[in-house]
Amino acid sequence: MIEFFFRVGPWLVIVPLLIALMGFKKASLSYRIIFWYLVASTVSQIIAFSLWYRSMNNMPVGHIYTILEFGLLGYFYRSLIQSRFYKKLIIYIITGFTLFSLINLFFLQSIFEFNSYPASLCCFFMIVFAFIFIVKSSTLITSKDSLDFSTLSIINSGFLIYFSGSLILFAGDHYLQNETRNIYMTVWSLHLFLLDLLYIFLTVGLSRNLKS
Amino acid sequence: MILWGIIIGMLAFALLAGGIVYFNLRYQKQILQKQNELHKKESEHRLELLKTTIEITEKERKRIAGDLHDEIGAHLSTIRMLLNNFKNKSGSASEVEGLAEESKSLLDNTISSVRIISHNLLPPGLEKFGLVNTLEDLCSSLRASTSFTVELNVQDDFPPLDKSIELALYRIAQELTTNSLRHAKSRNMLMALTYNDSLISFVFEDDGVGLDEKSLSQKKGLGLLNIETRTLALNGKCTFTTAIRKGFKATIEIPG
Repeated sequence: MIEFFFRVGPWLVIVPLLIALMGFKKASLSYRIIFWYLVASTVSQIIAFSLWYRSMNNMPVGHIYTILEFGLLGYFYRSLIQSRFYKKLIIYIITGFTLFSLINLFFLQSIFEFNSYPASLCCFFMIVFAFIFIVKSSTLITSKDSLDFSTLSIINSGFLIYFSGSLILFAGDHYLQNETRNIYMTVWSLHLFLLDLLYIFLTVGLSRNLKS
Repeated sequence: MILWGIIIGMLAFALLAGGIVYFNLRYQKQILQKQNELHKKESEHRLELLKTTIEITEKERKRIAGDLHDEIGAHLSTIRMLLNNFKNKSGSASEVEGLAEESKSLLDNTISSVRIISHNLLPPGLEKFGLVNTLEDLCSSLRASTSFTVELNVQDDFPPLDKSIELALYRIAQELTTNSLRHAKSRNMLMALTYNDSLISFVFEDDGVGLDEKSLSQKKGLGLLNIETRTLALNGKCTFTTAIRKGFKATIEIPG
């Protein structure tokens, strides 16, 4: 059952990707960023799945994907903000995170093991960005380059739930290394469940945007 | 142990985030509902103001038509009749003189009526001498025709204003003084005109019977709606402060 879930679950990304593609032509900047995020997710899923299918270690994909994910989502939240200061701050955070991920890749954790440090840090920052959106949305959100407010709320809610749930798992992954394969996969299936929940939120949010 | 910690931690964080999301979405829905209600009320209010404007315009036209008919029409008919008699009469010089005098008197009355009707439509002093002088004239005529104390305080360096603003303020002052005389049973009226930081402020106060503030906020009379309409048309703001037996105060603020 879990094996089946692992094979099928990640491909739910296709649904929001197709919806995002439908509205891409007339889309705002933040919409297009979400589209490219879904593209990056899909491509990394395909590569990771291919490597897994050939019984090869697919952890290197995660290292690259985490950098892309942080860059794209950081840019997404940046596109919502009017303040020049915070726009610059996010660029510095993205740059700093990218450097840290590369340092982690070459010096701290092996490319063939799960990149728990950058992944946890990514979760932490995304939770912060999502919270700031909730608290400051009335003052920070621009209407020119962004999606409409209800769409943003749904998408942001998805990110908040996914990254909140995933933070503990990513931070505590190396404690799971000694567990059996079944237990390891059971725990990671929870992550997959949260990921699918995120894709559902993105689907609902992007569909609403298409309708309006 | 650590495994269960990780699983519980994941679920707890996800549930916590879910809870925050749920309450946030609910809060936003409430705000959106309130905003929609506010927009609806604003639209209804604008419609009411528009209806009032039309009603007032029609009322004014009716009044002018009545004045023209009753005053001017009647006088001119009488003059016509007199001139007819004058043409037909072949009487003495004194009779002819009498008719001429009567016609002249009627013509004088007609000219006077035309002047009064015209002044009511647009006070001539407003364009020539400005708002302050015209308001002073208004106050003087009120003092002369009634036993009220009417005071006008104008800021020393009060500047000349755009003609449309001056006319609106004059009409507002007229409306407020008329209301005060007819309904408020007041003895004292005070008007103040100031100009600060590009904001014109006109304040009117009387010591009359006042109005019930609650019912005023629900339904205003034609005159007060007229004042509101004129103020809004100039992107201004008007506030009415009143209570039973506590007098009436109107504060009009218009960007200048």
